[in-house]
Amino acid sequence: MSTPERPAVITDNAFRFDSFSNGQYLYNKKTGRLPAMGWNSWNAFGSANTEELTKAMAEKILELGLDKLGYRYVVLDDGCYKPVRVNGRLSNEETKFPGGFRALADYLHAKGLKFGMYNDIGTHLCAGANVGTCGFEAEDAKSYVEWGIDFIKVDNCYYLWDDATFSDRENARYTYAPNIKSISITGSGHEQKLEAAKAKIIGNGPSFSDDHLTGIGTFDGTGPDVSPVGPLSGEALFEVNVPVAGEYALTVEYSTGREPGVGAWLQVALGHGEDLEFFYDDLLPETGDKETYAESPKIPIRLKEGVNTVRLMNHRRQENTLYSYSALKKGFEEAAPGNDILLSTCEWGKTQPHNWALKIADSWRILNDISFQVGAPGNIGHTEWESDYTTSITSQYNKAVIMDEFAGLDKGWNDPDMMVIGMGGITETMSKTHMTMWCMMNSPLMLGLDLRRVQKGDGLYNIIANKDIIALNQDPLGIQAKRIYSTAEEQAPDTVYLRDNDRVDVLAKPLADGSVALSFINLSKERKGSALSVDIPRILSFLGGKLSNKDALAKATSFLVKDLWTGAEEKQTEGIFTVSGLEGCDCEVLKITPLGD
Amino acid sequence: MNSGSDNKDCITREAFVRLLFDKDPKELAGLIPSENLYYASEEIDRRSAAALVHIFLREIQKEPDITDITPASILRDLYDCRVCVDHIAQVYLKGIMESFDYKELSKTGKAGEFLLFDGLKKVTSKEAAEYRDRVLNMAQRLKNPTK
Repeated sequence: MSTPERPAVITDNAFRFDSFSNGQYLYNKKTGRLPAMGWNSWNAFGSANTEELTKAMAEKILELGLDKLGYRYVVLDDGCYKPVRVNGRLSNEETKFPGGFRALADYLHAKGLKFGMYNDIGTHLCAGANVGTCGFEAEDAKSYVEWGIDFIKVDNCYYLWDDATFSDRENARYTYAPNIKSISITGSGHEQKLEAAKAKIIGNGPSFSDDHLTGIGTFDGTGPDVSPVGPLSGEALFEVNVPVAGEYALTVEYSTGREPGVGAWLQVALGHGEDLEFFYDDLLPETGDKETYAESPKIPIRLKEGVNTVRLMNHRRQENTLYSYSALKKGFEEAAPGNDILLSTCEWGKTQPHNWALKIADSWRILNDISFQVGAPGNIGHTEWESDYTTSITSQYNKAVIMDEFAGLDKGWNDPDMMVIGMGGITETMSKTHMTMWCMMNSPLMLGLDLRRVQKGDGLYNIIANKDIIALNQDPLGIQAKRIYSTAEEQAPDTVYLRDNDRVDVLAKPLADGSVALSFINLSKERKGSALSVDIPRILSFLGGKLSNKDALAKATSFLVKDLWTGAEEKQTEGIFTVSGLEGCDCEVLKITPLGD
Repeated sequence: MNSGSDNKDCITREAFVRLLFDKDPKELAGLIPSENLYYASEEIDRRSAAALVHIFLREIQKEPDITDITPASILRDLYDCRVCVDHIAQVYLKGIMESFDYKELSKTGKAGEFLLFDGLKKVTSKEAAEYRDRVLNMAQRLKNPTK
């Protein structure tokens, strides 16, 4: 086992961009699984988690009956390993985890709980331990199987092929194509040169600037600036017309860089999907700087008679990351064929994982962390309701809420990070709304507080243990809520990326029993006093075929309406559901059950 | 920006821990990041030093954290170190460890517009002593922690 020196040579098109949405999965990735629920050590204790604390959390989960509500995964995040491998293998930090991981797994399993751990596809973990899985995937998978894990969260620090956290900034040379001025085709007595201006740009990102194409790559989704909806990468297509079919030579006039927008890795391909054929997928010799152009080596390319659409692109940001995570997934499948280990990818949305992670993972982080002020024993940490970056409840919600079409029982789940209920900086109302959001959005529900602070019946307990709200997240229909209305967006509330929190959103979630859950959410810190209503036609127009019984809802003449936070119920016949104002950061959640036609 | 040792008087992890905690790193296993035990003879960088200083402030000196760290966002590299964002923010905002002004990198060339914590920069013995003094003596903490 050794650290690779360059990105993998990918020969199987199953890992290619073209295959992301073909519905085929890799290494026995299972579908039909609802979002995971449990407790993760990071927000609660940071790197200071210990075996003793973990066991204390397990005891509290049982004492509070949280396991019966679904919180079963107990996950050790960063800070549990020795910072170096022992004989090439992962090993427990002996002061903090003296009993070892197998013993801890056995302890948890004996209590009916499940055991999760953490690693990273780079060379090191984020906290610095030199035990990332890169180059050790098969060996580490064996270790995890031996320890009896049920879940693994895999981070992205020190990743070799992107400018990830702690990675080489110049790794942009792998994730972006060079700038391109022209291409030339020669062969069979034919010669054709096409300037960059002749290219057709598809997708998002590439542009024509002065006399060259630039920005051929994939947007970085780590920060909150980029909407997740729509194409997040692009290509330059050149239409090449040749007189006869045969072998030709392609040369590219290009310049390289090592910065976002200009790299050195070029992909040249023809065809799509099952007809996809690559003719080049590698670094080009660097030209020194992005102003200095050179002619590439001749690239052999096989063309058909007539018009051929040559794709110049770089999808390696996504393909490399999928390949790396797949190596670990493959390791698990080889070590334990048919295993049920849940895989939670944590590359912070950098490579737009909602496009590809469904092929191997059960959930995928969509953004950078929800808080960087995590707790420690005796310190509850700190978070925010809103922030300009990703470090707040609403930052995560604002992106995840328009990602419903990327999630599902047949795919996996968007992950707006572990919950921050119990951390400093937020009120009980904010925590209640946070719980509502995460449940409506089918997010994994990972608690991140010291559970010894929670008693049955107290404020925190009443939020995290609300059976009706949890039931939304765990509803067997497995459909993430859709935003069907917002005071800030009339035309397309379900897809427009809204970041100004001065608004009220309405989410609708179809349920397996034919009901619909409606959440009215005030994202502003100020009270919104106006009444807000949605009706059956609006629900039908947005949820349509997702409803388990559309006819029943459409034809119903009366409805049972239950407030899932207060428990109040009423029957009504109007089919119009109204909230009369919301306090700042507050929400109302109504379950609407049709009562017959 | 400046990850190498630009001064031969750089201090090791072990020496920094001893200076600050007055203990051998091995005695602090479980309290301090274990890299400080396993790589004790390595020169320590600023982000690792920030983590140790913050741990000392919080766990030994029982000094409360600053809850609103948004003013630290002025450091352009604050989020480069995801696990030490809070460590860096605390030691910077408390005036214990300084930032560096790379005004030549700002669009206008003006001071104060391109501040970095420079987490990979190695710590010198002199700097370590200054940090220790500021930890223990609030009167010595920097009012304007930018160099």
